[in-house]
Amino acid sequence: MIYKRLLLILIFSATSILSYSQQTGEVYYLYPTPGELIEVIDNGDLSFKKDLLNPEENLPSYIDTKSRNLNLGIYMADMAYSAFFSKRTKVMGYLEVIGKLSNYLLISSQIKQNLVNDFTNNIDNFDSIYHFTNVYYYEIMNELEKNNNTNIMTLIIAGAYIECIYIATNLAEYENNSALIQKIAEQKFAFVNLVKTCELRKTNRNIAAILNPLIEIQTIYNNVKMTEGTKRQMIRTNDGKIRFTGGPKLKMEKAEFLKLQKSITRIRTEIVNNK
Amino acid sequence: MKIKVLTIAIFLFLILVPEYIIAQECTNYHKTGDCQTQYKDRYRLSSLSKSYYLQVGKTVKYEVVLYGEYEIIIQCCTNMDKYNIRFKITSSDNGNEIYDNKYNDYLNNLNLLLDHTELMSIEVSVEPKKKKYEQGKVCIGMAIYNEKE
Repeated sequence: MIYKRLLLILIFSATSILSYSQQTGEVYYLYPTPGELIEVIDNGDLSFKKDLLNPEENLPSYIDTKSRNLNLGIYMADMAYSAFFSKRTKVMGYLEVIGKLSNYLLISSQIKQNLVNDFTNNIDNFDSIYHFTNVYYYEIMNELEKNNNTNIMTLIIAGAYIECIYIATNLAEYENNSALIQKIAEQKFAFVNLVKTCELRKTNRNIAAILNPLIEIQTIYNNVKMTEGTKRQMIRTNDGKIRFTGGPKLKMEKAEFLKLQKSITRIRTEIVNNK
Repeated sequence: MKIKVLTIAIFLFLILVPEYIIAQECTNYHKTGDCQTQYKDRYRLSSLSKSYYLQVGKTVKYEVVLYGEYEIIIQCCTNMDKYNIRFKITSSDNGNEIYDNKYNDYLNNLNLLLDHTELMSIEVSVEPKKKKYEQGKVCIGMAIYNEKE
């Protein structure tokens, strides 16, 4: 009898192992950390505005899987934004909140403890804090992927992206040729990937629930037109680099920007208020 | 009967568990060996970097937003004694091929600067250097480095 049980356990393990290894040939949608995203957007002149952050006090209202994971993404983006502007107290506050929310994820306590130690040991070094914000996010995602928790990953990424674009659109004033508006327009591609990722996993009801708001954002972005620009050329520079010049460029009009700002603010407010 | 069941169990264990362990160990392959850049003082590893346990003869495709005006290095790696690593970059928007390292002696790195942000598709595969390496799976890494500000 015990042998049969052993065989059943092994067959069950084998099935899950095979499902892991049969992923060959898949398409992967890759996303930067919120910190990296904020760094890219900052090229268009960001500033720090604490009213835009999700208060730590909202934590107790996140009692279901969807709100916990979406708001984990939002808090991670807020921590990256605070770290980017060297707001130490805010970062430590968010570190605690994120720690509590990630207790619901299957992440080893050793990894979490190491990350918290890295933060607390380097609290006086702002560059390190910013660096560890990225590492923290990356390690959590890595661990979730290893454990095949891709649905949770998708919700966290969606929350983080929504928060980053919410912050950027609420800091920007529309001006023609504004670098910040251009960076916001360029996030169109990230939302294309995000919607594709969610489409693949929409059998999960939490992902199905976030898919419609993401499609709403993508629909607005679809009106942001690609201008043809100059012909793409590949140039090999003297130091061996390859540079692609020309190619298509996005152009966001004021009406599209205002629509995006309104929509993303409403969607983000619904998530943080857990409506 | 017991011996038969036990033999099957041991067989499954020996076949599947080592592969699972290798696949898990492959997770951080892009941080090692030929995926490391020699310009560590100027570039830092992006979270877009990824490793994959790939069946020889198949391709893994990464959809990634490459930001304009940022200099990046794409550096791919595998067991270079046995395989050439091949990577192709195409525009996700229109499918136009931008770059294929096959036409650049399978050079495993590309220093890239785009004028504008674009959604790109990076396809990575391996090409065995000898017939005997045409079977099985191999760990591949794709490291993306961003220029430090």
